[in-house]
Amino acid sequence: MIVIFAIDALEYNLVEEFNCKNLKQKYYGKTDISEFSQPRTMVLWSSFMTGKNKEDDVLEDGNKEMWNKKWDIKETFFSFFENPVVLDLPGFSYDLGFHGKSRILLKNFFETKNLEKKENLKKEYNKDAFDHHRKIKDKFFKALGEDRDFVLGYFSVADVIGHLNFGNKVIMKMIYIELDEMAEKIKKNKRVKSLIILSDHGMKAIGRFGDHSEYGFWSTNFKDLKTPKITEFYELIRGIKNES
Amino acid sequence: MKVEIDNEIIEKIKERIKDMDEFDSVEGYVDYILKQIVGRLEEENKIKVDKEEYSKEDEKKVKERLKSLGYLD
Amino acid sequence: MEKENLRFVIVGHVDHGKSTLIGRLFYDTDSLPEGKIEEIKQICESLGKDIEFGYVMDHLAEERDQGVTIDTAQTFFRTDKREYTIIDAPGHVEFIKNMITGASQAEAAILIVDANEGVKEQTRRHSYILKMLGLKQVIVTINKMDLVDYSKDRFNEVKKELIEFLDKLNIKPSYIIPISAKEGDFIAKKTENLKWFDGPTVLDALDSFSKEESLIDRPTRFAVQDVYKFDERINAGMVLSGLIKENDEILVLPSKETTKVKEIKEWLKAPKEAEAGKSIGIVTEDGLFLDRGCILTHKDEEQPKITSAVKGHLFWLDREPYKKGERVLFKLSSQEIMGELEKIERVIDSSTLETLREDADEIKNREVADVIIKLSSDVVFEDFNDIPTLGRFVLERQDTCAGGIITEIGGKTNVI
Repeated sequence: MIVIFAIDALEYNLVEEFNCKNLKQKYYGKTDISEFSQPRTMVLWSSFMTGKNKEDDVLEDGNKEMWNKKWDIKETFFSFFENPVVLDLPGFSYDLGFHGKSRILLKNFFETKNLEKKENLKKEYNKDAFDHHRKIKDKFFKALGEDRDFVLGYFSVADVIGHLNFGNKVIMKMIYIELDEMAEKIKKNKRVKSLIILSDHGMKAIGRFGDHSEYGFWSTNFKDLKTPKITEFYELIRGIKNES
Repeated sequence: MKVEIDNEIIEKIKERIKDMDEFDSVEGYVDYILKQIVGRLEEENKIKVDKEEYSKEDEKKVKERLKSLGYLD
Repeated sequence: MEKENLRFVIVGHVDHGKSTLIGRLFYDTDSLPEGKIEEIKQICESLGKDIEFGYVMDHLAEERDQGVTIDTAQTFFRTDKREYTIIDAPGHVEFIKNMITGASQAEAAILIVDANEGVKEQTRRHSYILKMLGLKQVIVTINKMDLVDYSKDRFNEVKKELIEFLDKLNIKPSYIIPISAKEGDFIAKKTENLKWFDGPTVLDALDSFSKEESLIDRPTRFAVQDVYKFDERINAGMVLSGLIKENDEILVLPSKETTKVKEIKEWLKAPKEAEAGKSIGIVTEDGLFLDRGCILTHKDEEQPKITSAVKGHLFWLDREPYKKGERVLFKLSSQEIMGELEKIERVIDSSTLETLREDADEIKNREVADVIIKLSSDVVFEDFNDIPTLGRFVLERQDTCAGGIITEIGGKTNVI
């Protein structure tokens, strides 16, 4: 089984700071996303799964519409596989309901001036993010227990929580430890042959808030990729598939 | 405003300022010390206020960023 | 009325549950800011986990970094009896440096051992450090009892192994308590899970300890730390033992000059005397020139020892080994003297206590050694068991690289 643990906004520096041994695997480093004008989530994951720079395509209908974009499986490397599972990935199997609500809460948070309302909105926003994380986690580990050739789980908790809480080291540490424990669990699964852990971009602080940083995180248990472009994973995965 | 101070403290302050040129009375000394403390509290408050101001700045910045990343419109 | 405060340190293997124990101590004594614990609890629940007290430690570390206002006291947690301050032991070197230089004196210690893993190398090394620091009030907690089904047999097994080692170091713990920091067994509450244990909880054990015995009954020793020149010279320092009074006849060591105390200065006070533990300024009658490092004693009392060669027992902490003959800075209280290790009599493994080498050429990281140190000038010292601050020393290159205690005089003696 080839597994991709896709973690939105996983920040290289925090993986180091919190010493997330399991997220680092055997080889790890930063990705090169300099070819893109901005580190946009939809653009990056689209480019990842298709092996091509999809910035223009994703943005052609404007910022608002980009979240609705969906690629046909034939354009992605998921088509190499017989019974792939791809959970919640932006541009493919994205849960528009949850993520849409999340963005509405975010909007309301920034628009309201009342401090108490702001705190309550943040609490609701955070709670939703954690609840959604658990949901995807359950599905992910269920899929890992099945007879599959490919599983990808997309986890947005670090990004969603990070935007409003990146300055809260305690919360961020709890998230990174959780992700690290998940990586350990994946590693122990005998069905998993090749594991790639990848983020689209990282995160950097603006006070207590979080902005996207200009590089992503990668790690593998089989090859040192140095500083790969996010579009290079397409051929890499084809290579692994053909070898097995 | 009138404040009552224990005699024991007054005596200790008198001893303290005996050879100090800057203070010629217990009142003068107490006034000085209180001003020091208030000054420090104001400094701390200012830092606190600065922190809050800073936070509004941050919020403005991140809002702009989230707009350009497509999270807000 | 000001509540008494007891300072203690928690030592043990990094994975044996230190953070969780600290978090639990705060939680069970209601010593946490409400909002924060709720937040941590909620996130743990959302992630489908039990509350992890280790995260409380991270929060506390952050709070500490943000500073305090001038009129709030910083206490850690409290019981009905007193307030407790936990001394941070972030890493070996800082911890030992602070303890040995007296910057953060602990009065008690908790040694934590994992019931599942048992006594490990790090456990033994930490025990050694406790011995070097002369801490007599020690609680041993055998943690993670939940992972061994709260087994009395397992508890006794680990207890036996630990006592065997501690005996060799002459450490007699005041209590050995089975706990689960995660589940909250025997931290603040006696629980059903450990109903076979009839000893106290950790908090009860802490409450039973006394504040460090006052050194006021010992002969007077004052260490000069700084000298301030205003219209008179104020010699600032600490009363290490005994009592110093106005008009006292003073002997200055190691120079052996004599003088008299004209005045004692303390912030907002003009005391006539100051006892052990106080930081004060002394003005001498004749304005005698004193320096940092001078030790003042009473002329007519028992005197400390003075020597330029000591025998010591030290714990090497630097990754760079010490090579015989290398010069290092020897620091004892406020005294700072250049010296070198003239002889390395014996090198011992701190976790097995076996002798590794005799008459050695070097001491490596985490090794303990019996040494003879030659100093470029005299040092004033005391028996570590009598006046610890005058019996403990550190060695420095750019940073602290060893901590130790003086065991006897190593060569030429200068007795008064």
